Amino acid sequence: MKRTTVLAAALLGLVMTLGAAPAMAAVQDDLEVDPLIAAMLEEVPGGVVVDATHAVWPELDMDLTVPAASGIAARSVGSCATGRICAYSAASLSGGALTFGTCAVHAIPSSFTTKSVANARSTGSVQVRNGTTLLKTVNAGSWSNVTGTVTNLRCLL
Amino acid sequence: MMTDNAVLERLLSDADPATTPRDASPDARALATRDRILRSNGVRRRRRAITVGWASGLTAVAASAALAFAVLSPQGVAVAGTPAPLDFSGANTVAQVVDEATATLTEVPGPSAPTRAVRTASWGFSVDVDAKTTTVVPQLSTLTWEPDGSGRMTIVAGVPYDPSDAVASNAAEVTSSGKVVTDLVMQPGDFETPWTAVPGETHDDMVAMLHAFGMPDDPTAFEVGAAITSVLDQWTLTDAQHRELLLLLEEADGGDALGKTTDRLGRPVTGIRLQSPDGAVSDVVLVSRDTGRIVGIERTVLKADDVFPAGAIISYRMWDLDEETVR
Repeated sequence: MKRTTVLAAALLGLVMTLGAAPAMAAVQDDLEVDPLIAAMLEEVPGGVVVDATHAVWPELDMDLTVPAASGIAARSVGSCATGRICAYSAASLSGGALTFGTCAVHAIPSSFTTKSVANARSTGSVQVRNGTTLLKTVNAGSWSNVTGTVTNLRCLL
Repeated sequence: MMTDNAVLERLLSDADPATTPRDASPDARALATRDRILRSNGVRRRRRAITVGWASGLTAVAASAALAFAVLSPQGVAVAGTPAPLDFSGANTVAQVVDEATATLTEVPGPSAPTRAVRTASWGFSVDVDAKTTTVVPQLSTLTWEPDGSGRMTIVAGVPYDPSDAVASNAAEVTSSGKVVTDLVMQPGDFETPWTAVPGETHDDMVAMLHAFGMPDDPTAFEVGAAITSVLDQWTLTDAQHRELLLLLEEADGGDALGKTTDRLGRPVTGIRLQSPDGAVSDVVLVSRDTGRIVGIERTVLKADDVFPAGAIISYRMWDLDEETVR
């Protein structure tokens, strides 16, 4: 079996295990592989997930543990806080911002010129639109520069 | 008081006889009246105590030290304090501004080639639309990028200030706190832009570039200014290119020369006011009297909307920051 398949199986197993956790344990809702762990697994083949913040690479005799808090920072996108949708007045998430915490169609006032958009939600996507014309789709956990006049952001679950 | 100024400015504009187009240049009497009103309300010229320390050079670029300082009113309109308007003096025309800038551009050496790197000092609001809270976001940012869309944006927070401090609020200075709040490393393809090639220096080159950044055919001066802002947020251009941009601004209808002032980094500039076609906002483009280059832009809301009150200066951005200018 290819290593990537093993890794995928391990990740799937972890997700299934966590998904089957009793409600008591679900108080902590961040029980997924930390983004730093996930990034390292992509970068260095042969890694096996131990838990959300711990992975080992047996052939390399290497292990990696990241602070539990890193997941919080890693899921924000630039200065767009975890779970929010942010419109910025300059490219690459700089300048002033309008931020939204709900998933809905959010109107952007004409006084605010949107140059980039971040989607720091964990699922779904955000359509950047002029009226009903789609200018750009920004997936969860990502961002994009935008060209054109933005009049609303439409969040999709 | 600043709010009152801009509201009054708009009321004066609205009160124009129907024979005068809304976006027509004000005559000398109107300018004098406006200036007299502005001067009479005690708005003091701000101190030029800017000390933007790019601390350790480029790494010390700014950020978003955000200082929560205002709460939106129950109606959903921001009531936050905003900076005092720049205090312009002296009469001139857009043609004079461009002529003087052209002469200066010829005399003072500038960048030898366009670069995909920009340092910006900016001030603006971050508005949590749901919670109706507003935060001040002074930033010093450095953007570098490559044609493949890779690059890096580093943002250093500006120094927060007490929003109840009227002097600080009026000045809204952007001084570095040295704290990096965003370090966005962009992988190839991440930095999307409508123009990646090194632009030429002719009139047609600049028109093509501005079109790529959203300038329509037969643009208003406001639309030219908006496209220029997008370009200068991504490129540091040569003097020849700035000259062409200024000429395009002059050719378009709707720009009003405001006279001389110093910008919020203490640099001598002249201003050109550009009102949006719908009258919702106006931008002031700042042209350096030292270099002839376009070095900044400010936005004022003229009509209240769901987020900002009329009269609020909601953002400004300043470019061409170097260690001589930024001490």
